Amino acid sequence: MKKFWKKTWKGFLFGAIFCALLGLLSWVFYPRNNTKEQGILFPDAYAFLTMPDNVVDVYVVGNSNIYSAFSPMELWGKYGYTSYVSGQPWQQTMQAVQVLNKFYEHQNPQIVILDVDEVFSSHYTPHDIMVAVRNAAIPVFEFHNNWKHLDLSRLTSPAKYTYTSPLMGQHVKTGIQGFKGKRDYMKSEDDGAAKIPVTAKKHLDEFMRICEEHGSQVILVNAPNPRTWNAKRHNTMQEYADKYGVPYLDYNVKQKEIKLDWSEDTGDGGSHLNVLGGIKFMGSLGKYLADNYSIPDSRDKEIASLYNQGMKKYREYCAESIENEKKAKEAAKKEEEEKALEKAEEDQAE
Amino acid sequence: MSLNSMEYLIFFLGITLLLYAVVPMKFRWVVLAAASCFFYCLTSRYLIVFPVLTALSVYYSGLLTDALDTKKNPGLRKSVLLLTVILNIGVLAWLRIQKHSPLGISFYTLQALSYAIDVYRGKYKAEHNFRKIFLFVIFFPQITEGPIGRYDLLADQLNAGRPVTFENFRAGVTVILCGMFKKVVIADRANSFLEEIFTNYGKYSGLAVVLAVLIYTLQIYADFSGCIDIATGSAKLFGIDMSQNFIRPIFSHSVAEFWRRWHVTLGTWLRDYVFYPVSLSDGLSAVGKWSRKRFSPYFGAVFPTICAIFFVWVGNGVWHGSGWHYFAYGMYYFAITVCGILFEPHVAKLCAKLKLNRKSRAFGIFQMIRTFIFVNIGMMLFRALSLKVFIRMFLSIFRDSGLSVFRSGAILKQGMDKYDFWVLAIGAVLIFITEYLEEKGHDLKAILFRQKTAVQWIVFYALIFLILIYGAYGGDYAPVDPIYAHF
Repeated sequence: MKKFWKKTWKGFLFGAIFCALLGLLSWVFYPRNNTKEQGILFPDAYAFLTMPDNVVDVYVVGNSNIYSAFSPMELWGKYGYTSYVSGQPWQQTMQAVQVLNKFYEHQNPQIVILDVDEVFSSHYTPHDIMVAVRNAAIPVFEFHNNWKHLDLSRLTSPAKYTYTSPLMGQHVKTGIQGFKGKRDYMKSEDDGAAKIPVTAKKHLDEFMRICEEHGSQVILVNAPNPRTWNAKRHNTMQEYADKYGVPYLDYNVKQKEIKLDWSEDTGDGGSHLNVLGGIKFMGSLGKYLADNYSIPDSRDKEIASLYNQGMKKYREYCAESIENEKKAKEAAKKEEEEKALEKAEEDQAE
Repeated sequence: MSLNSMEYLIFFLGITLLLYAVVPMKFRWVVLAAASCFFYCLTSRYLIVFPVLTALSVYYSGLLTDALDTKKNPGLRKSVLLLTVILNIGVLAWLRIQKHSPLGISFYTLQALSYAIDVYRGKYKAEHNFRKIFLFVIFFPQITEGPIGRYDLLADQLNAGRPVTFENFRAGVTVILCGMFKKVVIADRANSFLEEIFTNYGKYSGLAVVLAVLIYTLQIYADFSGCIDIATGSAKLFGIDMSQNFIRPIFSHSVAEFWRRWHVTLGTWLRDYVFYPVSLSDGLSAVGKWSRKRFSPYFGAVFPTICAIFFVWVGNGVWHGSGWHYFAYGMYYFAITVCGILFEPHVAKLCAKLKLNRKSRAFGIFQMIRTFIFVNIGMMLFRALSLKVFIRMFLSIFRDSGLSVFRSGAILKQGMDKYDFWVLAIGAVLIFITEYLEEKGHDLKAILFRQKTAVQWIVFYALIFLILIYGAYGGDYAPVDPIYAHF
């Protein structure tokens, strides 16, 4: 019996030292910068960490759908609104909550916009949940690869963020590759509703709660996406927005209103809007914000210099897009002429 | 659920061991059987029907061949066995072609057939209790990648409840940690680099291809032996000893010896159930006698062996897959083995003439290097996408030096950076040192367990944190399934 207790005691001691070492290593490897080398997989979503505190009035969260479509520079140029978009490829609702929490540590936005495209792709397997819990509880699991860039001299100094995003999180697509699928994807033959995955619903509710606690007004948005969206999903999100009493702007149903042209407003066959599509999307969304909220114009504030720098870069992208649009139109015209010529030749031959 | 996953190691294994420890001895086999079924269904769901059918087929085959008199019904006994073999190999081949292979089918089919053949040969009596056969076929640690066990060595261990002891726990965890180090730190790290080189092979030549082949050999060894370590370590937690599948193959002096040290349980299976029956068959003995008279006594003596080796290597190649390069892989080793046998007298004469001591250390090192080169070429053939690709890659080694990708630094942008190369190199050296010491007769585990508790703990912590920190997992690395789980 004595031997048993001795072994049990040793086992506990081994476990206690192990936990202490895990804690120590988690502290050592925890990122002290917002760069990829420090384990931040998509640093643009966290580049707001380099901005001064409490300067962003409109905060946008979502997956690649929104980081392509939402342009903080469009809002800045037209209205002087400061905004930031934290989009991550294949972002899941759990990550949306994580990035939102981090954002609130530094900023206090008046408006929070969530692109709901990610809601129905947020399926969690037990493995995903386990990994997420493990990473949250013991960060060394997530950031273990930081050994490659470990700077021991920085362990005791506070975090210093260096990764910046001139376009405030936007990922611009200047190319043109039209969508060739069905354009009436929002036409519903069945008025049913899609089911929000259980864990996604939990995170979505949490997202709403956090925004409410911080006094931000939430807008649910959906940038146009014929590849992922449909009427059932729209109905479900409308119902969800009504339940919380928040606006839901689904630009899949407002395509005509914003004059979206699927042959030139997408850069990758319909999955994401390009700059041209983004301008149309932002035209409507910006007007909605201006008409319904009193967001301050910050163009005479200190933060203006940062946004003006981004604006220069954004204009370059716009010029490139307009050039691409011209080329695409010329190519289409040439193709049409060739076809007409071919047809005329065939008719003549007959 | 792969053997190196957190779900398996922490939850599945932990809960199964806990249940095994608290359930009365006589019901402990139920825990293993239930856990094995759960493990199988989690991965392959309804495909569990295939191992059940295999277990049923060998169970009834065993009962029938045991019941039939060897003198009165030799033909019927043989027919029953043949039917069992054809049925199981047929299902294996059919599922392989359909590309819907249930988990571990190549492994459990051979394991189950060994039981049926052994009963037929009278090595032991047929088992009347089906659950013993079933558990022998489906035991969870071995189902993914082996080792291919034998009924007389394994079944009793599985079915008799065993005490869960500290000694077994410590030994099991140590082996699991070593396996995790090989799999997660070394094998998985190399994956995206090898994927790039072997997929876009046209872009690489010379030293870049040689480096990729060397890394692949390291990867497959670390992956396969690592997973086997996790499997044997898992079994050890329950007090069950499984067969050894790797005996430090790097120290092989010949290709034949390499295959006695690499995937040992497949080698011994092919030896016992293909090589011996073929080489000792009446037809081949007659051909051997005829060749002795017609050609030379030496050729006559080795001819039946060569024929049997041919079938062994066909079996080995085809067992790995249906692609032609797998068949070529088998034939490659067949050719080397046969050359070794046929040229042996000439090599002996030449060495005597040159006064070379074949037992000297230097000659031994030369043999090891030669074997290592042969094995690496074999691995290249094994990993190449097809036989045609292998030929192109092999020729590209001699096309040019291929140094441009090293000079430009492009080699460090193909899925592994300089840190990853360092980890691979240090990992390979660590494996080599431990295996060298074991080859010299040092039992490292026993030495460790003789040390004071503090020393043992330091080694355990070091192993755990080496895996945790230097493991190739998480966002920067794509998860890699155990390589042999696909065979």
